Amino acid sequence: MRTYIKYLIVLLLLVGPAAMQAQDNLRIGEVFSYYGKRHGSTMVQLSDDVIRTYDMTLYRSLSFRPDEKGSRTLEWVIGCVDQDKRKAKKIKETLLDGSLKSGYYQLPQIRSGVNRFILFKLGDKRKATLIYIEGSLSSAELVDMLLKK
Amino acid sequence: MLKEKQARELLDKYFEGETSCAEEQQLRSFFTQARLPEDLVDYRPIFGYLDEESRKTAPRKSSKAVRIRFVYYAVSGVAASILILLGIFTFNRHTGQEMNSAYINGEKYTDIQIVHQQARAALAEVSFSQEDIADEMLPDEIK
Repeated sequence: MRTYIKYLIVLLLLVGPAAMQAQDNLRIGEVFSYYGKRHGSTMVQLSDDVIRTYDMTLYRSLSFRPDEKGSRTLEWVIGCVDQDKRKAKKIKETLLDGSLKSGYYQLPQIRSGVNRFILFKLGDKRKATLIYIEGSLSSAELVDMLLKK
Repeated sequence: MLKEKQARELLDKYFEGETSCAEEQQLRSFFTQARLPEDLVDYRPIFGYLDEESRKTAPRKSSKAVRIRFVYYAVSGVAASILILLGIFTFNRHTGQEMNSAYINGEKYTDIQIVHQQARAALAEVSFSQEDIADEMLPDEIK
């Protein structure tokens, strides 16, 4: 019996890290998965002490150019963001000609004291930037950080 | 305790193979008494032997069986420990290196300077100026 408990602990240790990526429960997780390791993309994942000084526990960003053809175009990316947006408790967006240009979304806390944010911006030459942040930082602190001084 | 007459009846029954366990127990008790009728003394060793046998505990496992069991537990323990270490290693690798990394054009970088530089660059991409926001982007609490 004790042996089975040991194996169970091991199993939890092995699957634990996967479960930790809460962002994977969001549709934007698919965007990170699809574009993250592709040529022309830059994906960053951080959970070190430096980001903790900003009250963040997880930071993931993705800079990429969405495909112009196929099933993973910009429309698909915006569709994923849109789907996650439905869960958001705060939404701030800027639209250009009716299309999403930038978005700021605060999702419900993943657990007590842990806020979640999604940031999206479509820049020049169809360059898109998607950021997912988890941490105790407030939306005001995040906006202050993003505000160009 | 059985009376002599009852004992003789049970003894007959015993040799006919018709006694129950309880009756055999009674016989064993009867034959433990110090003073037995002379003609019954010869039967004492039979029931004395049975009584002694019944008191014996289950035979101890052979040392070979014990050794096999010990080896089994030792191997299980070592295997479980290795798996735990592997799990911790994987966990640390994932939460450490994997979670502090950057993929640029599909190539992985774990140099923390590069990772932070890329993180700052992405934040700069989504940052905005006072003119950009024009009261649109700011969350309600800082308006």
